[in-house]
Amino acid sequence: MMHCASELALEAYLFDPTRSTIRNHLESCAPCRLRLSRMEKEGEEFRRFVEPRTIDRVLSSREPAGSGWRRRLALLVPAGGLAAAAAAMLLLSPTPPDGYVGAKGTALSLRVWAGSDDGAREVADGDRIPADARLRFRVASGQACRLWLLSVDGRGEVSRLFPAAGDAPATVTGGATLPGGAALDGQAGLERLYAVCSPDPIPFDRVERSLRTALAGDGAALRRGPALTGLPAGAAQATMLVEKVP
Amino acid sequence: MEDPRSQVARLYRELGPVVYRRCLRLLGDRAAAEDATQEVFMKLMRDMDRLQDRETVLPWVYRVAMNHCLNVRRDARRRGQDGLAEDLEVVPDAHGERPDSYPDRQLAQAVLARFDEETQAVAVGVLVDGMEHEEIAAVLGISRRTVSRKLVRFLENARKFVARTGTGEAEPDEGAVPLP
Repeated sequence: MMHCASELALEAYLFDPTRSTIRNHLESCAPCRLRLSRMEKEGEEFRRFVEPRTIDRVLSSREPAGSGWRRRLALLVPAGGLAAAAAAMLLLSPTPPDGYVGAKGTALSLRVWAGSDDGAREVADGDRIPADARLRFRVASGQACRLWLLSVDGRGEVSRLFPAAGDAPATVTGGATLPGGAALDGQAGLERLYAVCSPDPIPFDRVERSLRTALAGDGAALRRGPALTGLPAGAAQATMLVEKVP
Repeated sequence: MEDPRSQVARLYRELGPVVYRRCLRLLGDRAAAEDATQEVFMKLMRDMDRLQDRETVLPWVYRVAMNHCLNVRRDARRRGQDGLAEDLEVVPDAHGERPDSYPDRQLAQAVLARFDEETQAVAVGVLVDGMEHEEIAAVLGISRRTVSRKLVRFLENARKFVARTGTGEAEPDEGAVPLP
């Protein structure tokens, strides 16, 4: 009688198919292929739901006491010295991955200005700016929506930028320059901004989880700027990368 | 060089599904499996060198997850908690026979919580997960002979226990079945 592969053998196959000893068996064993398919679905379930909910606790268990890695960028109210320079609208809608749920026709744009004592300039995607620059933001949406603006740096630290307080995202209609702004933390490195705007309010935690999920385990993702997944249908997003230099 | 947080996040993403599936299979409850997954991974992170050794990591992760979740089952049963699946889903044979046609497997499920950790792991590995004796021996770091011996003792004691209680259900306040 032919025996089915054990759970561990199937795990080994999923872990590294090229080194698995059960490849031939799988070709002729329908029950094992069925189990393998279910295991893949459970793995996807982990990545979509379990990992976002648990990654913070797992990561914080590696942190020394009192060194939690959440942070907040300082909010400037108002950042009056940063005059908005006229420039072409920067539209940054990352290409959604397969299975991404988004509404057709929705678009969100994000423009960023960096200010210093020498004046302000509009920032292009990937621009190098002073590590302690003050930022102003403008967003434009094709429909009224509820906005969160957040950022993540190369260490994985997530900052909530706008609205900086409260439980609800801000309402945006058409184009809006966001009140206040943000001051970068002075640490050199990459910082990626994400704007997420949805017809219905999304809890910030959900957006943050999507962000962590999108970047987890992929050192190049911050530079690439993957689309956030797991957001409600109709949610639009835009992203921009800046490189903070001393 | 990869920073420590990114390293942990990458390993969690890669190996978390292994832990989650193991816990889901043994606990039969998604919320319990989610809790167990993060607890197991925090245990695994105590040995980061081992966690990054792709040659040996999988059996180790599998064993730690299995032991942890079997303990969760045992503790829940002792506390009389509901919610965890009573029955373990067993590996079918390749010809589609229903796995619950195997008396030994049913026996294993009925009395599993009454045995020590290693014996439970042997019983689950062989009778539930369909592992060969060599395979579970390698996972647990014991000899094939020890696996065989523990399995025989497990089945003998389990049969005695079932014969005594009639149902296989644990009686309140009754101690574990004494092993020879």
